[in-house]
Amino acid sequence: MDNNRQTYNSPTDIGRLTERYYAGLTSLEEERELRRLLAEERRGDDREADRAVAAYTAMMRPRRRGARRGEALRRAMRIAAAVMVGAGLTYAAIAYSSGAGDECYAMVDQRRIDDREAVMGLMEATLGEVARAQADMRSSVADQFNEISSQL
Amino acid sequence: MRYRLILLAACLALACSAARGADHSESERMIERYSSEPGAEVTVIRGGDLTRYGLSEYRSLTLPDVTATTLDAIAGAVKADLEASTAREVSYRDGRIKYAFLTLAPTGEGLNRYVIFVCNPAHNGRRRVVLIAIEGKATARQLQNLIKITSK
Repeated sequence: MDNNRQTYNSPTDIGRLTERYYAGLTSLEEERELRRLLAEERRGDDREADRAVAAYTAMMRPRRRGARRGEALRRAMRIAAAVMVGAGLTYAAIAYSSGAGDECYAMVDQRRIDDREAVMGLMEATLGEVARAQADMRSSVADQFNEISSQL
Repeated sequence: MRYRLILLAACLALACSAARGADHSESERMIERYSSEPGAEVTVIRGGDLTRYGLSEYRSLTLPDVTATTLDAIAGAVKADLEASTAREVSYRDGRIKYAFLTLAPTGEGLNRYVIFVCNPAHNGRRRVVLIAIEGKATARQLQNLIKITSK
């Protein structure tokens, strides 16, 4: 508790404080008190110019370190979010463009074939190979079942 | 508030891109990885003539003469897909997968996914490998019918 704290209330006090303020003699405490007094609405007084100066200095006063840090963090987050959105949209565009539209080609020993009929022919030949492997497997299963049923 | 919305949009974009990435099976990665091997035959068909079979994408890789290392890598990928598959038809020979027809979980867009693997003996004790990744609305039965029809 500051026992030496002085209180200012009357217009004379404000005048005295204002003079000290312009002379550069006020303490921080007195400046705060002066701003408080000026902020109180007093119609008809002649302190408008002083209020304007107080408002200007309040506006120009550097912000608290915490507030600056918070703003820097928000700005960094905005930038990070924008970068992420950009990356996401780019990826989506690439994925969409690579997934869109028809495509039909074959590479045989690194030689590209674009003829649709030839490519479909290659697909059918490959599926034919699959069909033979499938038939082998099924006939093998059928043989096993026949063997089991002959034992029964 | 605005940057939170932007962050939310970015997170959604990332989640969507992750979901798209999760649609790729291990076998599809193998098709991409070994597509430039000597003698490799790669067929890529998307849309177009495939739609009449109820399919939207067909990718196949045929390696006429694979080394043991490549075969192990491909068989490993097929085994990983086999474990993740929802339905399977597999035959083994000498402890190795000879034929596999795998139904994987549908894509994010609700398309069915299939992986087909065939491994047959080639000359010099090597193997001929066929690996196919298929996407489409067709059911497994419809696809197997298509394979059967193609072989005739």
